Amino acid sequence: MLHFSIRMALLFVCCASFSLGKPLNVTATTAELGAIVREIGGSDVKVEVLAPSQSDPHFIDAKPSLILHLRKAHLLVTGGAGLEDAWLPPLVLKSRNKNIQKSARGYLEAADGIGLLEIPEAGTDRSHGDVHPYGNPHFMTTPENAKIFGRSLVDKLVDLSPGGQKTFEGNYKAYAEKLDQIQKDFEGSLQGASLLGFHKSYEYMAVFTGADIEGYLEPKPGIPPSPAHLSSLLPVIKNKGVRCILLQPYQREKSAKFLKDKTGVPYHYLSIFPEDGSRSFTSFLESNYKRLLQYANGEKK
Amino acid sequence: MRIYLLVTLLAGGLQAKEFFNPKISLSGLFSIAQFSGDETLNFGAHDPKSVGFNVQNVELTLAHAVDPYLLGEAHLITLVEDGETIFELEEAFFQTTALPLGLQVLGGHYFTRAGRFNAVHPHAWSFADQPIIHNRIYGGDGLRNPGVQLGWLVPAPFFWEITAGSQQATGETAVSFLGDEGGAPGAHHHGDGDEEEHAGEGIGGYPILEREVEGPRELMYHLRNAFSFDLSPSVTVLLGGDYLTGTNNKGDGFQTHIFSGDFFLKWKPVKNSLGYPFVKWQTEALWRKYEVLPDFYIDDFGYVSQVEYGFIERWVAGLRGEFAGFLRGEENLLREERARLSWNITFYPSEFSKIRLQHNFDSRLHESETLHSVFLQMEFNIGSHGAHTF
Repeated sequence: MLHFSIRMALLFVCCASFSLGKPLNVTATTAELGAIVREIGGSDVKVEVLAPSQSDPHFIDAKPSLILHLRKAHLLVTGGAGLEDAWLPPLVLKSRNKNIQKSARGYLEAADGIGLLEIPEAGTDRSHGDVHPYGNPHFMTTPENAKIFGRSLVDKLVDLSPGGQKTFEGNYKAYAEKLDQIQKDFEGSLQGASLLGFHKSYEYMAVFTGADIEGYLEPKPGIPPSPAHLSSLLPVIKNKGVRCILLQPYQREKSAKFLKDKTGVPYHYLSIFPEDGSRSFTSFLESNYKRLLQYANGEKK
Repeated sequence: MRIYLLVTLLAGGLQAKEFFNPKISLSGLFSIAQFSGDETLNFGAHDPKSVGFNVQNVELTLAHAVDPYLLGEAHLITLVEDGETIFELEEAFFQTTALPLGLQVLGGHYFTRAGRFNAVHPHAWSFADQPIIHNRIYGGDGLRNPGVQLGWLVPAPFFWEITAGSQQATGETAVSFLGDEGGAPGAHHHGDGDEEEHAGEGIGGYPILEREVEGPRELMYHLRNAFSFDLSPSVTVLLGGDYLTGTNNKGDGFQTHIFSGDFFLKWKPVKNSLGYPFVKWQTEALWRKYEVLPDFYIDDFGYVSQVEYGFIERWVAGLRGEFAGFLRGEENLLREERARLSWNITFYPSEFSKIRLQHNFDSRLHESETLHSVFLQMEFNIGSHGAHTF
């Protein structure tokens, strides 16, 4: 009888270990996903991010050191929609961690439940460039998508760590309120503004703010800008009254500088999330939209 | 209503296709070759060997999840040699996805994961041809056989993996063991029935006597130890060592021992554009001790060191230095002291195609003239190929 009680007690302790104050190990592929997990998970999660925020998330090296971040994870959060397909699968396989395999409980794909833009039509193939096969994966830039993902994340965290339910729900409520405010402040705030992108990174932001992205410095996805293609953008900039060019930090400024020298159109880098968790997702999203408005309205050089 | 039903059925059908069909991809690797001498010194099965146009490798890959426990994949290759089409099973194996304690089993027919060159498929090579020392010790087709291996990710604060495996060691893909030898030039045959003619002479000029697998003693055994460290967010280093042993065909119970060491360094800045710029430096050294008479060994050794510099988006420049030598035993074209220097430049129009120009300077100890080889290589890929390992 005594032995049985001790065994049951031990079993209970093991199962409840997460809710007994041991944080959940969560590994996120990108810095913005990591930031959302931190904001909602609070002190009940310990977050590691695989892709440095200054790096192009399409071209991360599957370095062996990243396997160490996956080995002990209870939950793997990915963007999905093919964004990490070029580097994540061998890392997950080598981690030998049964919790985070694609079919396991500890695997969460943010793209699930998001209405993706630019789902390729039948007949799309690589002659169109390195098109994302499931739709545009750069969706974590609008309050609506961030809310949808936040909700899925809460459900997953509660599933893995039931004892933290009150914390997760409470954090989510505050998170959602901040996102609602961003929605109110910035939805439709750039109606009709014409912009240029480098890669298709800002489509969701454009739909949300009402801006129009008139063209891209990349002739096709994954192909670097060519002089011929850049020249073809010059009339577009003039005729559409493009207000500014938006770049990610890892994209070469040489091409944007060429267009600026020819037409005067400014180029700006939209800030990227720091992977160390020093800014919350919502505060960073808000400041990003503020900067976008300032760039598009010519208020910031 | 009918349209709605049709759309639902179609949508369900498309999903079903993705559920059942494996990821399929095909890569085609071709080249034009020219040599300054009468003979080529490229003995690799997938090297550009003929003056003129070559089909180096056409590889069909299928991969998919088998069930919650296993992944399966297969690589089927064809090439054309002297007008004859050859079909080969390159690899077909399963891998476990989530065994406890950091363990992983890989089994089936596979390239021995020794060093960092042997297991790389020709379309992913950094140079158009196989390194000299790998050709000599692992054979023109690489060391690949049926078997099983167990890998262990050691619970350390850095990457540390230990792998142990065993494979069948007969046939032309086990030249250092019981298999067909690389004893004479042109000895690499794709099952054209000429094995009997060459059965007499093997590596080092010693006669082939034994070929039977009677039990575990005649299998090949492999042990690998590998570490990796990030020296900085932009520099990663990988160090590995291998030991392979198995009986060879020179006599009953005669052993071959192979020692291999590899060093890999990659620099790629955190802020990179399409993965450029980068520098990769890879060095591997091998030593084979081959027992030909009781307790009498002949040795073959060599190294290859190559640097690739991706200097601007889509362009990579490469430089490779190699040396191969031997101690004791007969000397011939396949077994002489050789040094080779190669440079190449590769253009990748996209991630799915490449064009490469390469020039080899081949220096053989007993020849005063340097042999020049020039290759123009082309590769294309279609379908969904899995991500390459680091």
